[in-house]
Amino acid sequence: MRMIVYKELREVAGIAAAALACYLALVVSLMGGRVFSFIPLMPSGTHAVPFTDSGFSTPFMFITAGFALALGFRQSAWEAVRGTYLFLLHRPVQRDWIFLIKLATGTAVLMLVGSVPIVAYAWWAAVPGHHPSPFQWAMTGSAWELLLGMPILYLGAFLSGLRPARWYGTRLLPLLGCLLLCVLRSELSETWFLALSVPLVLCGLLAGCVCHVARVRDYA
Amino acid sequence: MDDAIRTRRLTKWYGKRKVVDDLDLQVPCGTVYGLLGRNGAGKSTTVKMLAGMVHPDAGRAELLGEDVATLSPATRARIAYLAEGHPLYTWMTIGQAVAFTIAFYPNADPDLVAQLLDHFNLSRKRKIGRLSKGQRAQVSLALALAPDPELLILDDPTLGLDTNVRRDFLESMIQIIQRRGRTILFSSHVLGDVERVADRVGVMIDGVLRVDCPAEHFKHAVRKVIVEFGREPPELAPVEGLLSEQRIGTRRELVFVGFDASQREAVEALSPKSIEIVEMNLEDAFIEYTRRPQRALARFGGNPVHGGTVDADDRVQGAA
Repeated sequence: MRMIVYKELREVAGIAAAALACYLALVVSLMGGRVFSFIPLMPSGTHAVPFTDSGFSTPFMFITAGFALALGFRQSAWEAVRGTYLFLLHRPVQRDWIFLIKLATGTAVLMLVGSVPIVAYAWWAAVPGHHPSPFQWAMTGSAWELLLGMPILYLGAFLSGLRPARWYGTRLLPLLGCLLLCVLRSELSETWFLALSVPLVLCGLLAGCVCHVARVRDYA
Repeated sequence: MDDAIRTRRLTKWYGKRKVVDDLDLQVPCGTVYGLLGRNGAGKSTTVKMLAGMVHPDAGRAELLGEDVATLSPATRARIAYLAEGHPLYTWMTIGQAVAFTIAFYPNADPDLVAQLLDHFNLSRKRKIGRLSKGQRAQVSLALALAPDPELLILDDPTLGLDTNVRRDFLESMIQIIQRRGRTILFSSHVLGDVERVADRVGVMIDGVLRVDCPAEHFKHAVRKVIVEFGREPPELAPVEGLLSEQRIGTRRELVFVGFDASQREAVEALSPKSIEIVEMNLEDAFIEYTRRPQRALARFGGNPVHGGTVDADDRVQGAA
């Protein structure tokens, strides 16, 4: 099990590093740094109250969504393309376990890396003298909520990469479904209980779908 | 448990095409079984079904007495599977691949892997992505042998390897065979390889296992008969077991499955000047046997070939 976690971490390290670099650029720009001002849509300056306008949330959402998609496809479709499922799945471990470990590792990486810009930007905003407006940690709530919904997108990408289909349109159906679920969830989750429990339930269902597809599909 | 591999009416469809058709295969423990067939004959799909990577549409397969569909990790640990093309993680070094693999097998023998890597002259520090095809095949074999498996299932293991590397690989396989009671099933295109190591062969044609017998029996069952007439060769009436017929000047070259008394009678009825029976090697026998369209081959399973070269347990499907 430990070796599968190690393998997955090693394989997604590049994507995680790229996401981290994008987050770093975003946070540095929000802190007033002009290093990344040449990047389109990159916010600049410290004039907005942290986490209250779209300066952080819009780029954060796009970066995290891209990160989740890349992670999901890398962990599923890549193995199918390279034929390494034939090597991995012959290990004497239940197939469900192999895929659950993959999903747990991917989700953990997504959440850990995704939390870095929130913590970094909030920590910067919390230090007096950095920003001409009051700050409370509760202001980060919407960012956390956004991040908590991203595993749904990640699992949709994973399922799309794993599930065999005749053409790209039908292959991407799970991803499109998950995108729709993410939108619906953002409309529903008005309380912390819903913000936590709805993604958790949806992720559980999607993980079950992944295990089912992994069990029934052919690795030809 | 007498059989390491047993399949019963194993069938697989890809769309409207039946790629494996009612396959009944038994590989006794300790046997080296070569599965032959042309491209698209269904060998690879069969091997993948045995490894549990492809689900059959009908029928069942058992490995070491356990159904493949519900193979427990403990039984899987006793089976090695080398997939076609030797897929491995290219970012790993050989040392990392060894560490990754043996972590799954508590009884794995790191010394055996070290010996094999030494034998192949492979350094643990080398990246798998930078190895040649042959070296990758060698690493795959070393990894497969690490847990000292009882059964090895190899899908065209020498595909794409040059002659020297293939020879090396086969010699390693022979050494493995000589270790206690291992069963090996391997599919191959290279008839010479099969002839060197297999003690039993199966020939698949369009998804059907047409031949299942000892390699020697197969070679002896397919015979070329050169019939010299010294004049315009007459037409030969349809004869059971006739695979192909070629006219060269004043003679006819006939290829038969078997060549028994009834077939000899049919040939002698044409009043030839001479009849010469030529023994074929496995490759020639295979080519002659498989090049005829499948529909033209009549099935007769379990019956001895005319001429008595095949036991009741063996099976060579003759031609109509």
